[in-house]
Amino acid sequence: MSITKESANQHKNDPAIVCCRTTKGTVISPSDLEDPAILPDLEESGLVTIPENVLKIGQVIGAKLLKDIDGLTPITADLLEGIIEEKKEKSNVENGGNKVEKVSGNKEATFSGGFVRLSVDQMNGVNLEFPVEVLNSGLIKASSQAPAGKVEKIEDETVNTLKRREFAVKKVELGKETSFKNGVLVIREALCKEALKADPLTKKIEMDIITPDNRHQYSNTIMDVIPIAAKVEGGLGNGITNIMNDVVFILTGLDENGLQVHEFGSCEGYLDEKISYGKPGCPDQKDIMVRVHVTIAANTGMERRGPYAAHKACDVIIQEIREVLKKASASEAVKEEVCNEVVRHGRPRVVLVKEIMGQGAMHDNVMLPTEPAGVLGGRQNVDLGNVPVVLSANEVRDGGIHALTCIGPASKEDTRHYFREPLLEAMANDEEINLVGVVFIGSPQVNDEKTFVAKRLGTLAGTMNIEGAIVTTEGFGNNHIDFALNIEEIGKRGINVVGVTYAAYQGQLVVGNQYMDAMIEVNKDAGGFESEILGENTICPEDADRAVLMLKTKMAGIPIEAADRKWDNAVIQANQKLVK
Amino acid sequence: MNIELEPKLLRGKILKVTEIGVQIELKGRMGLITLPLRSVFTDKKLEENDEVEIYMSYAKVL
Repeated sequence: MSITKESANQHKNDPAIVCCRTTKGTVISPSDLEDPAILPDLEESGLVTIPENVLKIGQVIGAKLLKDIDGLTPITADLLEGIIEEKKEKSNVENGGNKVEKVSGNKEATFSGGFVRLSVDQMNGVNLEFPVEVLNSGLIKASSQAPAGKVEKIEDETVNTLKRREFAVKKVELGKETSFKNGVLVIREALCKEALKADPLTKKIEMDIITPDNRHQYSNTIMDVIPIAAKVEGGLGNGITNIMNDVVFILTGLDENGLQVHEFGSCEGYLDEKISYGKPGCPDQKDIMVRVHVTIAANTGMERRGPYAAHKACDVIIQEIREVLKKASASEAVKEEVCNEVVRHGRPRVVLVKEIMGQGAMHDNVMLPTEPAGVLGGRQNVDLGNVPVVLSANEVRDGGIHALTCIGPASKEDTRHYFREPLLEAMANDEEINLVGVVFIGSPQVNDEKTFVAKRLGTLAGTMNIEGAIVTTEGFGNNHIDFALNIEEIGKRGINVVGVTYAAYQGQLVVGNQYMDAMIEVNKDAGGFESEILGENTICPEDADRAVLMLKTKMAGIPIEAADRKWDNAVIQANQKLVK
Repeated sequence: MNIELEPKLLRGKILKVTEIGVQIELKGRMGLITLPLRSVFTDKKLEENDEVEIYMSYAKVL
């Protein structure tokens, strides 16, 4: 397979190998050369062995071949006439680089976006001299008309505030009346029967309390982990929210035939073994779990309405707790946190794009419910056609997403994950970037719908005047097609993109493009598998730190070294060391 | 769109053995498959919960 002139230029430092039989006297052109992108495959299959003295594509173009050679022959200097050996300049990094005495400018200078771009690998004692007239030339004047010429003052502007009051819960019990006093939460047991009214598909609801010292208990598939939070003042994303610490709801489900409410393969098992405790989307080590187990109508576990019914029923129970939590006295709060939404003027505008599942059934999410992490009042992304929807940082922090999704447990982002999304916190707290918002985009089933929503995302990103974006996806499978499309649509508008996903061994990407050159792997399983342990392969604060550093590196124009062809945990460990 | 499917060596568990075939649940949420008996290599009589390994990839609609 020959390559184009553009490709040859892009791969000028890659090995030159002829793609077909080439005869003596041929002047080598890109059409004679094999695509460097497939060389690793050719090497792996034993079709090609690349010698050390192979010439680079940039060296062989235009040179004349001295003898006939077969296809897939690496080109070495002895095969060509008049080849100039590459001069290897000795680097002198330790002493601050080679000394540059004089820099003579190129005949053509490029001015764009109000910047004069000059790149030097190493510099020491450089003296730059150029005539003042250059600055007064027509070229500079032309570019100075661009708005980028205006320098924005570096200052922080707080545009929105959310106050979070946290209340400690020491004990949870079931009783006759729901109450919250002195750190003891009592949940009315009769709610299990009343919550059946939430949806005719819910047939039976059971509830029990699991304390940290009693976790070796069998559980059906964990559909979701839900925090308890209630609005006291204002709407989602502003005002005051009360939150219960040290307690979470876990929702599990079966259908009447005894089938787990799940995608193929479920995560039923012992709670102490099946949860990666401490991950953003999981219970913490000391959390008390309130387990709500819902039985739904037979054969509805794989339809959209079945799992949704279970979530609605669980929300009815949590809502009664929210009502008492709203009345909790501010003086009893153990912590009060103010989440400011800050516009960081003068810093690069960046966006976080979260790809959420939208293939239907339980691959769905409720956006912007009335209560934090609730269900009622929200809109489902599948109903919205999976188009991108922008939420503010505080709307996400305030439980703006209730996850219905039931993909592989290790990589699923559940409701609690969105409630304390580490990537959002890392981006919002970084004073060198200006997080403008969080875009949620669904992943539809069919490829042309994926293209449709990805293009909307690209257009949206283009209007946001951003310099960088981090795109994440949960799970693996056909959502990786959206992932690639979303990155491409943003990247081709000149915006720097970093991708974050689980791929590793089992979920290896099936598509790729030129904009996917900065990727963060979130796998934690030793073999690179979907381990079926809840939350194990989701984004944690360390992954978020790597992603933010990679984005800043890319925005600064520093090249990102290409990844190995196969997943290797050593690369991740090495990158992690760079963060600190 | 050029989608590259690459088979991966996965493990699974036999859920059901019938006179014509076996149903296998693949680990890591890769699905359930039913195979005819002649496609399963074994040194012993097939039983439920036997562990198997198989190369699998995603499926692409043509």
